[in-house]
Amino acid sequence: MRGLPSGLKWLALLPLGWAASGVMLVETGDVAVVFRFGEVTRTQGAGIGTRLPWPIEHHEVVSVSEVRRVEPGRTRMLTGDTNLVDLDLVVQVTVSDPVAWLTATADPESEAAAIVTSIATEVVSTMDVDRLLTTGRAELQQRVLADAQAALTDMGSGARLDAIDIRELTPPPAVVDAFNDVSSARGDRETLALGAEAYTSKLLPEARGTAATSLARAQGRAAERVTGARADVSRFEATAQSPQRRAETTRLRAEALARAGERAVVQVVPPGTIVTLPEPAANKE
Amino acid sequence: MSETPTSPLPWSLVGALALLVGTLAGAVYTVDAREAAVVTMFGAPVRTVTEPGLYVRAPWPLQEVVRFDQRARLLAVPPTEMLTQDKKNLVVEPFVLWRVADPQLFLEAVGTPEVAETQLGDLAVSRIAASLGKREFGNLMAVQDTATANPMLPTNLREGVAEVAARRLGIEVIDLRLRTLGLPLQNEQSIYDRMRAERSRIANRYRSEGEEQAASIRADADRKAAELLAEADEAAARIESNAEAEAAGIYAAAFSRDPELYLFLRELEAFEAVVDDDTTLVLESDSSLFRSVLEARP
Repeated sequence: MRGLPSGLKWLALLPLGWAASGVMLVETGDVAVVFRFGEVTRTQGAGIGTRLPWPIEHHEVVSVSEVRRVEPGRTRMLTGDTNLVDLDLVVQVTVSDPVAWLTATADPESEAAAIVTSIATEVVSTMDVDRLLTTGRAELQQRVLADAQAALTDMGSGARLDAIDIRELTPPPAVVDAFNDVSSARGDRETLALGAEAYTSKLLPEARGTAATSLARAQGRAAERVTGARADVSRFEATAQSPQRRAETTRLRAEALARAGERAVVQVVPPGTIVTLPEPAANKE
Repeated sequence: MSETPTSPLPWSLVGALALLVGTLAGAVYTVDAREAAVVTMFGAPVRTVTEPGLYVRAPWPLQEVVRFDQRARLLAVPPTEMLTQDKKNLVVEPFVLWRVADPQLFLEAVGTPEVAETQLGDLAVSRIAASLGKREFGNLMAVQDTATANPMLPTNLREGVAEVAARRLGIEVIDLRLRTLGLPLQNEQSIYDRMRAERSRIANRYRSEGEEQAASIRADADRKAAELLAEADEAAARIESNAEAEAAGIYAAAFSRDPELYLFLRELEAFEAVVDDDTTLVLESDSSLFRSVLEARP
């Protein structure tokens, strides 16, 4: 060795450097897949690890924590009752099997997007537009998620669907005003009913008030009637039992006549006069 | 021997060694987990390698290695117009998920993925067109239970395409689906017209339902109010007639004790009721009545 030129000493370090290239640093959330002569031999999670140097082994890193957002794009779809809707989905994919993710499919994200759109097309084709735009929305989302996940699992693509969100599910712009008018008609229906309810809640208390008043008046009159009768009777009794009964009746009679005389027109004629009565007024009650 | 001067290595030997090493290195090849390989000798396939690893072949120019990506690939077929059995136009956009299954057959039959996709796309489109051509539009698009609905593409169609692709192209069809199924643009307008008509029918129904409900609520309220008032009137009448009866009883009990006085007082009352300010009393000047009236005047 001593005889070698100094430049060649550095060459001796090359094998060391080569061996050192076998150290793998894997970050949290990543998995390293180790290939030996192209064959997958093992995987390694976060931390430090070693492999044989290239070209015997090499490794590729896949993030298993990253949520990959896949957007299949807005698609016009036919509903089961032959209406058209525009559907825009957002799919969240994570890696469930790093080895399959790397080796099973050339483009797992596009594959997931195509399968999700296809399953959405099928589900939409069995639902009617009213259901889709109202209560069916959640059903569509759940069914697409479940079916697409099953399809991806069947294919062993190493992808897991975490979520499918419906970003947009609307009638096409050309008819959206007609759909809006239905919503406003639904609102009108409620408004009309509410107006009638308001009428009811004003009318009935009023009627109850009137009824109560008329009852109270009747009770008042009834009490007055009975009280009046009692008063009359006690006056009558007083007169009947009075020692000067005759004088009393004479007084009453005279008073009544006097009151009558005050009210009425009194015409005095000589005894034996024949009086011709005028025709009574036609509508005099 | 030690006397022999260290002669420089014969360059011809070095060259020969390098050539040997290079040739041997070229005889070793790896196949990746994502690949399949076909070894050819003078262009003719001699061996297929589908398992990854390190392999040896005869050096160039005797043998060569052709590699294919063996992963699943997505073939998106462009939208194609098709007819249903009842002559309704549809635009379908199929996709095929496929991969090289038999590398040697694949190499011989198609050679490249691009050619393979053209053929696979044609195969899928013709089979799908044939399948849709046997179905009524209403059978394809219908409101039904999603879980039990007929799939848009029957399973045997997928199997048929897979069988032909495997036999003729060396391809495994993993999945075949319709990404979208729609109508030609020129048919959309008539759908829009129908959608509009339907919506306006529903809107009208809601509005007339609203009016009907409101009218019925109002009528109900009016009836309840009328009932309340009628009941109150009835109760009032009952109360008053009861009072009347009670009063009559009170009068009767008292007056039966002195009927003569009673009659007198009733007549007096009647007299007072009859005489009002429109009455003219014609009295003879010598009547006692006249005197009573006259005496009362101030």
